[in-house]
Amino acid sequence: MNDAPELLSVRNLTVDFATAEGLITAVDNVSFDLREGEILALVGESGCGKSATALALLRLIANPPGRIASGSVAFRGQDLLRASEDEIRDIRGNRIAMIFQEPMTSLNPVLTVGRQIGEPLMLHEGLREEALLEKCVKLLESVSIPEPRRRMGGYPHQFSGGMRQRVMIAMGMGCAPDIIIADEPTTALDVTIQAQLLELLRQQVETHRTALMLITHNLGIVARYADRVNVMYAGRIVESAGADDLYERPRHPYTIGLLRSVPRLDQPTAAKLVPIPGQPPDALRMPQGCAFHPRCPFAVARCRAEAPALREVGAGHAIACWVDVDG
Amino acid sequence: MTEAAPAVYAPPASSKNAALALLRAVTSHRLATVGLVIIVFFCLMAAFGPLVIPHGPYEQDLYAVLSGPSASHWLGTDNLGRDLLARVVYGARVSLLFGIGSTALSAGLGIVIGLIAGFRGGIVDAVIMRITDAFLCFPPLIFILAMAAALGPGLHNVILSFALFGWTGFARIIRGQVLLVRELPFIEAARASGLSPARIMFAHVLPNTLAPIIVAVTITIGIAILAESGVSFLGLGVQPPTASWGKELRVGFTYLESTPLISIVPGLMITVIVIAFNFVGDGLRDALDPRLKGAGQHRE
Repeated sequence: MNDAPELLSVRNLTVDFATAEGLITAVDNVSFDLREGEILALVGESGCGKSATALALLRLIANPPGRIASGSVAFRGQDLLRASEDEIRDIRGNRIAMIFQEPMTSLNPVLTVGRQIGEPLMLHEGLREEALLEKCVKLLESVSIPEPRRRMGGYPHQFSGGMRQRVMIAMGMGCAPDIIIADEPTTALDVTIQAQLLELLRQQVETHRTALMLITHNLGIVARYADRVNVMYAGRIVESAGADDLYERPRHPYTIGLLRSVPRLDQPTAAKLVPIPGQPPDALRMPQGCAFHPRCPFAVARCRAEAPALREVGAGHAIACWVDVDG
Repeated sequence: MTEAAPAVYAPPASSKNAALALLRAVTSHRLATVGLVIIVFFCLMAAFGPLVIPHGPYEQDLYAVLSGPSASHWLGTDNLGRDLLARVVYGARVSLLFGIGSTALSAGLGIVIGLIAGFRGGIVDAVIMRITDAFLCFPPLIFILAMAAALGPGLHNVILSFALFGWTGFARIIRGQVLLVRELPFIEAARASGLSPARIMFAHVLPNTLAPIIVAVTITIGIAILAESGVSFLGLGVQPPTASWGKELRVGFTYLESTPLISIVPGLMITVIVIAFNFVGDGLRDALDPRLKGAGQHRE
């Protein structure tokens, strides 16, 4: 197990969204820890609360309609949910940086790339003029942008998708943060570029002991890069384990279903893909008991009545399930 | 654009390089160049014209009342025997000052108010928008009359009342743009990098909302120059004997059959300057939108 110092400790985080039809609990009682130099993956289908969890950590949930209903997020002992506006602003982009999923729209179209990279550095590190310029050039070089000095004067539309995402990563790394939260950082990009970018992030983790929270629905990325994995379903963490452990012995029926529904290179091609039957639940009409029970092949009577809490089933391996399926 | 590279942080609007780049962009737009030349010419005319023309605007030649063009009065005279050319040249001062001044004030006011309404949302937005609705259903003339009654007639007061009335249109345009822009991912990204709301509002949201405002500004300058004529006709604007294009236009109205030039010349001036501002507006819009400029220049 990783016994590096703990950076972030999330406890019982709950996020609600008020919609016209009623209250939706997007993140339900989520707890996890993040250590220095650790790559933690948050996996799940669209709408399962991965991004809402990430946004809530930095209090970026738009309010209204969103609201962090309860919980605590301790960053180096400081509760971010109770920090003042100034304190949290000082942490955003500085100690905890975020890389968004849309490289095409996450850069401001009317400002030069140089200015956008420079802005957090001016704000958090007080860099000006020559020092700022040098730092920006260095950052762009570190993400392999050719001719960084010239490209800094360019606008985002003059960059390709992969380059823009590299710019985003450069921005994220600018202030040497303790934690980088990457929300589907490679979804919109083609496979070769995906690998490049993830390697870049991994280098950052290795050289600076940065912790990386990788939000993705791509299990291949998780297998290759993550140290730990939290699987989310309908706003809850349903399984939490070391990445290798999770792939070898998934124990929550949902994780098992997920792994069976993706092609794997380490299995014979004849092996059939088994989809998970049914649809994720409607957030407004959550089933009673365990949210997964209508789709679960192992469901028993208790699953329909009572929602299971996360419980330890092995060393560093926890599941939220009444039935311990040793898959 | 490539030369502008070292200006990493300098905001594009205030950077000398960027201003030059903008000027270059406008002058590469053919119609905008024409517009710019006309505006510059009119400004020079307003500033230095009186040094060139032989008559003053208040000088009366009672032997040549309502005369047509002649060797001493190139464009003829008005009903009081004043030289039309001199009236028009001096009138340019009033009309340009009024058009640009009132528009600048109302746009400035409208931009700030609209930005706050759109960015803050909620109750702030609701209150500001109801106020603009109230302004919009109030007849402008009544407002200007009331203002003139309160402050007294005169050019500065009319500019002020135009600004106090005219900001609503700008505020609505900006608010609509802000509502659109503030939901875009790059605003969330800016927030995630720790920028303060004020900085996000002015440095990130505002530049993304300006394109329609620039077009609106150029059109409003034209409308304001026209509106000044109406207000001057009612005796609320510049006071006689001061000349303005609008006033000359109205004076000539009475003598349209005998001496049409009194109306035609200032009317032509108004038309030309309004069109010139529109040309420049189009050029600026194209130049300010980086998506339209140098498309494909460095794309890979």
